[in-house]
Amino acid sequence: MYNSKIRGPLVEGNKTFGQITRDVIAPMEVRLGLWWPIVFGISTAAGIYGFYSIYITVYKGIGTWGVNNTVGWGWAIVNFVWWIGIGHAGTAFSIFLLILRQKWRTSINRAAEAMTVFAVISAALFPALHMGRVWLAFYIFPYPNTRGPLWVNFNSPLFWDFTAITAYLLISASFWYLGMLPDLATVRDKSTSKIRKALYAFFSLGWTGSSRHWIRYESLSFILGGIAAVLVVSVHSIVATDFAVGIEPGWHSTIFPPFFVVGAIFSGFAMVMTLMVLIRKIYHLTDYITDNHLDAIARILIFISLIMGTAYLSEVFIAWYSGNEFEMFTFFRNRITGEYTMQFWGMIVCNAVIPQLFWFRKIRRNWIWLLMVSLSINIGMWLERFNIVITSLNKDYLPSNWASYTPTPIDIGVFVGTLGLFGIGVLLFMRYIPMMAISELKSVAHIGNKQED
Amino acid sequence: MKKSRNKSGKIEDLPVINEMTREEERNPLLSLLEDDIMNKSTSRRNFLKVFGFSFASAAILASCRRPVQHALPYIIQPPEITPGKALYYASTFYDGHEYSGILVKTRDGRPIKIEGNLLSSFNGEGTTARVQASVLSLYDDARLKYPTINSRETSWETVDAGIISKLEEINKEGGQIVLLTSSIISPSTIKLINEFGTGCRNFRWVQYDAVSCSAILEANAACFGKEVIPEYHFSNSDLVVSLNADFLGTWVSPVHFIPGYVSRRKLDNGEKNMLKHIQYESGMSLTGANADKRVKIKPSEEKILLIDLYNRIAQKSGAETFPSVSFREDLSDLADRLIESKGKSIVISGTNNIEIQIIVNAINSLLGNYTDCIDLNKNIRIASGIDSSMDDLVSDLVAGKVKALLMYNVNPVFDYPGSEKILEGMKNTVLTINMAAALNETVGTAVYECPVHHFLESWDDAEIVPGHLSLSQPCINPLFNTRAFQDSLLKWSGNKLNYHDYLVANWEKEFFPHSGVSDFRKFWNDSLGNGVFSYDIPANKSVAFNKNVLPGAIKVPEKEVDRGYEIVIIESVALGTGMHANNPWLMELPDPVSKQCWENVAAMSLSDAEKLGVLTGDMIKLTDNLILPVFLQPGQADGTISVSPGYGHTQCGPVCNDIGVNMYPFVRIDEGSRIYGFRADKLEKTSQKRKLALTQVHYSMEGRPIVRETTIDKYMDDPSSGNEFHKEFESKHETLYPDVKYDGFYWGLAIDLNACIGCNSCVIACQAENNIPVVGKEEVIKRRIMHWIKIDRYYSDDPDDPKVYFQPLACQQCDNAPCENVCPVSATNHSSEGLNQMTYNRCVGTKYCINNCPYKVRRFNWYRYTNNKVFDFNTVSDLGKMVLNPDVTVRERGVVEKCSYCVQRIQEKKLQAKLENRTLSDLEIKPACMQACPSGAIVFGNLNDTNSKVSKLFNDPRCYHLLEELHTLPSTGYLTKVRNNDKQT
Amino acid sequence: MTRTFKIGIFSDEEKFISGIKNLQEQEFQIHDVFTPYPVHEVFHLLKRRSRLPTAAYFFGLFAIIATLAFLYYTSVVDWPIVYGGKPFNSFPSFIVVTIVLTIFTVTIASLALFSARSKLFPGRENTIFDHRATDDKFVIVVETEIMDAASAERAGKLMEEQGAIEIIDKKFEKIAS
Repeated sequence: MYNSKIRGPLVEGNKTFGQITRDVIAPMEVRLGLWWPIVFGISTAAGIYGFYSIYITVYKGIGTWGVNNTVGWGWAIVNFVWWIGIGHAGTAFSIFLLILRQKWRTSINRAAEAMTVFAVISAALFPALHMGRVWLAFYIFPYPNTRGPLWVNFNSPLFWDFTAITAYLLISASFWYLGMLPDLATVRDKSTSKIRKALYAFFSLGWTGSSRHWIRYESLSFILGGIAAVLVVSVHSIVATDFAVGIEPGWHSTIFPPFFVVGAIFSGFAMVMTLMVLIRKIYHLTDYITDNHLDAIARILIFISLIMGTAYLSEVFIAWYSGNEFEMFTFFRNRITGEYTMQFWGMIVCNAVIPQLFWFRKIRRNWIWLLMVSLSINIGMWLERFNIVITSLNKDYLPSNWASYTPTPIDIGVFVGTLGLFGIGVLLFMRYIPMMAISELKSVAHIGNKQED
Repeated sequence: MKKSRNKSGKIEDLPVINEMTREEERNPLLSLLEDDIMNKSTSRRNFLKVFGFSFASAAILASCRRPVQHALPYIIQPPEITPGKALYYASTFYDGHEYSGILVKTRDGRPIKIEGNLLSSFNGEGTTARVQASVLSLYDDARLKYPTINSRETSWETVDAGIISKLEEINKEGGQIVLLTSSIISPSTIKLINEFGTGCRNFRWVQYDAVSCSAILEANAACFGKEVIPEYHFSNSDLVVSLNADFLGTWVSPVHFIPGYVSRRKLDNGEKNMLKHIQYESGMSLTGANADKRVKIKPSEEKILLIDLYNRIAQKSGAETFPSVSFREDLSDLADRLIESKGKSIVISGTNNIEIQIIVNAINSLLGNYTDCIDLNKNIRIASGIDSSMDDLVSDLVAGKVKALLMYNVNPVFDYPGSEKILEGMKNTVLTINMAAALNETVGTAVYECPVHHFLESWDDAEIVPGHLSLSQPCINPLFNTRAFQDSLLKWSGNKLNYHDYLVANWEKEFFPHSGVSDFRKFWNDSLGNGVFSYDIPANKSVAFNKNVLPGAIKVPEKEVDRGYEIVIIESVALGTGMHANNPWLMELPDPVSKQCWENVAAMSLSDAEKLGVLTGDMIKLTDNLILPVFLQPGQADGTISVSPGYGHTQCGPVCNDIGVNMYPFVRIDEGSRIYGFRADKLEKTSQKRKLALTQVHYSMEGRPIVRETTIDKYMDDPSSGNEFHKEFESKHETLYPDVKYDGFYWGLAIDLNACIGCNSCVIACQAENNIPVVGKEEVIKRRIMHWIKIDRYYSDDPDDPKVYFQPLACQQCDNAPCENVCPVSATNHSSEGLNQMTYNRCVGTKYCINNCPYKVRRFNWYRYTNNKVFDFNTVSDLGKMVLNPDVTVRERGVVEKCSYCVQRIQEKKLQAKLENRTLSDLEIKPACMQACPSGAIVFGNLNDTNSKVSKLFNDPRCYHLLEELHTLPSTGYLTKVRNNDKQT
Repeated sequence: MTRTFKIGIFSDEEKFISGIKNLQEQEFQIHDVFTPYPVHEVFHLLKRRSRLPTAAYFFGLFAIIATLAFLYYTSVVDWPIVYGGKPFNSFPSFIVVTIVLTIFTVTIASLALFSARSKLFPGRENTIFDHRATDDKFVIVVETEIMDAASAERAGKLMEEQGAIEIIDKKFEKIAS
């Protein structure tokens, strides 16, 4: 069996299986500190602001946003891509690290996957809301109808997008739930109160831990894992085609699919980092989410940030090298310089420069620094999407059409709302669901522990 | 329906259809009745058919007063009306300032669109934006709806009784009765007025124009003994020198001048020698933008320039010269050119100053231009008001000499400089009557309000050029309790006739003899059907120039110190004098040059703005009571500021009230003529700022081959000069997919950038045809204007003295349309005739197509613009809705819309041809923009037909496609602009 | 009818494995074993194998064919429409949709099959032989109904020898698993 003394134990403090169970379930049993209701309140407030903005948008029209006849897509799409990106963390974590046999993922992937689900839900809001006639959104389903039947346009990246997002949401959700089955059973068998027992019994689908269950469980998770691996790559590639298939300068670029996927994993991991650092601090789970884990994520982030930097450079280079005057203008006079230059340089600094701090071990092992850097990456990735969406549109082919874009409170409101939604989701998850894959933890508990010898 | 196409092949095979078509040939209405009401049991569809049909007829029966709630069928069906079919009436547009022979399109008894009347030799099919928009004024809620006494509603009987008695007692003691009208060109009305006058003991008729051409009239009277505005034959001239005359935009009659001017600028008809156009002006006018050479001068310099020019020409042609100072620029070249094209040139000035106009006349007569280019006999009868007579009237009013003041179609309270004097004077009168069609500042100042019909409701005639007559006929019953001005006069002069009979009688007496037709009925019907009737008036060609007036005129003005700023008040192309200011279409029509709408601004040169440290949007103080937002106008003469009048209404309707500043009070009266401008010693920058409603903010083409141009001599060597890219790009087009074949029709549109002068009438024509909403200032500022066709304006070279380019831009109907590709719900896709079609009721509004359109010609309904009080721009009320074109869907909130090449017109003509069992002829289908274009710059047709005009233009070496390097394969082609810049300039 | 079982509880993985081995050497029929996490050796010893992957493969095959057929029918046969000058059958555009829909179908189908075969669905209550199996204990269950008392005794003994911390006898009216 795989074992490494160099990396040190995956679970510290030489825990017994019983302890592991108790530690992980603890937050669900005991009353939480004051911080929980406070944060929950804030998230709810944000959610309400968001709901109001959505109401106004649907009631009055997209006119309440900052978009115009030149810049047809604004914050809504920026946020959509951003959330989807974050939504890649969980699945990427589980799948890639599974494939790479990285056992340390076990203590993190549950939370990461939960995050995925909430992020994708937040993301899925925007494409619906930015429709002029959201009440006719069902037109996008290719279902037999009385209009001919008139099917949909299968050439449209937006349709690809729609299918991809739906599939991704469903699969990551089921993958997440499947992973939870044994733990829900554990909670069921551990809990004393009748209601809890009944509740968790219902949701654990009658799991017993029989070898028959385990064998099928494992092969199914491998199937889903294998498939989801393809999906993780394809989903954001497809989101990328929304732009790459477009004809606008700054959109029409073959680098986009891989560039987007990497970016997505970048922001996803950053978000995982943010949450992990916090959860770890709040729940004192330092034995399970060890410094080594965070260190590992930080290393990955450096690597990806280098890729991002290269991508940005190569984009600019190709714009110059192609000699396409429109591309040249977009990159050199509307991004590097020009009206939205702040957003461009902000992106560069946050995504390509700041993460380089992780070269220092001290910083990799200081939770404050980790938090700061991971947050700056999240901001940077948002700015990247802003650059791609707005600065390509606002000054494109015909100068007569050039316009500028400024968001309205409603734009902002919808975004804040999704942040709130995400917050609520995460908080509920922390309260009612085992935050770490207990069974998986047990399977790796002895690795690197004295128990072995 | 689709099934029948797929499964059972061609539609013709289906017997049912054949039967139906035969029935329709017989009478579609009848067929409706028969197979729906008589035979069939009422199904939902039948019910709707019948309901729709009877509702329409009800509307007609009730002659479109308020929409009828209950639906009634005809008792007796009028033979000419077929529900769903348009009826066209030939008529005349004349509002006191502008004239056009027009066709009025009516649907179910409602006028919904105005087209030019091809038979009218004056303007042909061309119309201006204002004429196009006038149909909306018909349904304006700000129209006067009933007669009033002291602004209390009353009946016509009481009004007449009161007025007649008052007139009698005034006549008894011989008090002065004054009729103040706008310029009247209707011979019958003039006759009637004179008759009315003879009925009074002391009668005076004063004609008054808000923007007067008095100086031209008086100058011509002095020089030639003819008080007229001559006819200018631009088509006969090789050189046009215009000083501050915006003859393509606002001066005298652009719609008449444009075709002549453009006919000498177009090159597609093998034309080789181009008209040369030199413009001297202060502000950047539409005309100046089209000039081959444009020189910036201050108004104060104009006279010096003209005297200098006169002397140089006089010297060369051995006429007497006068003492003069030489103009700051050497004019010898200009003089030489003018002499070069002796008798083939036109010199005009737009300045309302008699001396200037006399010098202009002198120059023209020296050059012998009065033979071919300028015609004093066939004069244009626009603006016949003499300033001094108006001034006299005002002073008489104040002096209390006037007992009765009858006003018709004038708004002096708004647009006469000393309006307070008029108000004061009206107190001294016994009887004041105001006859206006719609609300304005003068309404309510008179005791009696006798509202008149809109021109689409009234009988009238017009004689714009001697011997060129046209008729107006009502296209709809009066919507309100109004009465024609002429009918009122007839009543008050005790004449039993109504104006229609009077008109007919007059025509029988005056013009019937010239027709050479035996039967008057026939003559009348023909003239009414054609809308026009013209006969030759023997022209006595000889016009001697009276030299004695020259010495008086050529007085070199004492060199005034060059201080402060000279403010120029010049009409805007959209609003003109401002009498149609309450028309939202015109309010939102961006100025062709400044691309700014919804208020008037102070246009100043870039260097002046720099001196003052102001930017576009900063408010500056010109005088104590005049604060305007600055607009940086490239090409504005330094030390001058241009402002357009017609804004700043206070009581003219919800759309225009309190928008902009009224400039008329700043018009000076100087030696009996009104001077449109004044001098501001110093400008003060204020702290306020304002966002201007601009529809285009970037002026440069960024070196992209968007508008391709060449010069005439280059063009002579190589017709494809300036268009080299075309071949290159065409050769580089590669594709993996097989080309889509369009058998049958393959629509295309060609736009000649050399012919297009950017007058904007296509924009309003499109708006009227396609029910395009007005969105208001705030939305325009947000760059959400809805116009389907817009005219892009670009500058190049020196921003202080730029070259200007105009480019009409609508949907390019690309064969490889990027927008179609990305719509997830296939709401936009390609028709079998090469049209990029938009299915509104399928659109869910992802706006992806808007983003992916490289031309950004798609428009999104950001809000609900229909039935929404927030966007009440005269088409929301039941009254206003009557202007909507029933052939075009009114778009819902949240859907994308765009130019469709007027597909409804295409279908209409195709069906017509099918019913008549013939093939469509070329140019039979005309999109609204093409039909309205006075310069014939737009040509639409079938590209598969190699003989069609449009295919010929597509094969012209000048033809190119916008952004063709993207391989979108647009169906719209542009022809390169050719500038007449030869070596000397 | 009631069924009796002998249940051995182990707290250590290795001992638990050897326990199984022992029983099998003595040709005891092991009813089932329960573990807090998957122990792969058990699968080999009890010859447990799953045919889910094979099924998933065929689901995928079906999905690909079905999707392509659907796309072709809708955009070429049923209502052909020209989009941006592309031919009706613009295959490259179809690939993306096919991939995604395939993944989609496989997931759903496999999930359904999994819950059907291993009888796991909301509200289902399978027989729990010992609660600690989901926490920290490894459980071997031998059905004693089918054997005489003596051998049943022996099975218990064997497990004890291998270090079972506890041996329990249980009766169940009916077994659900």
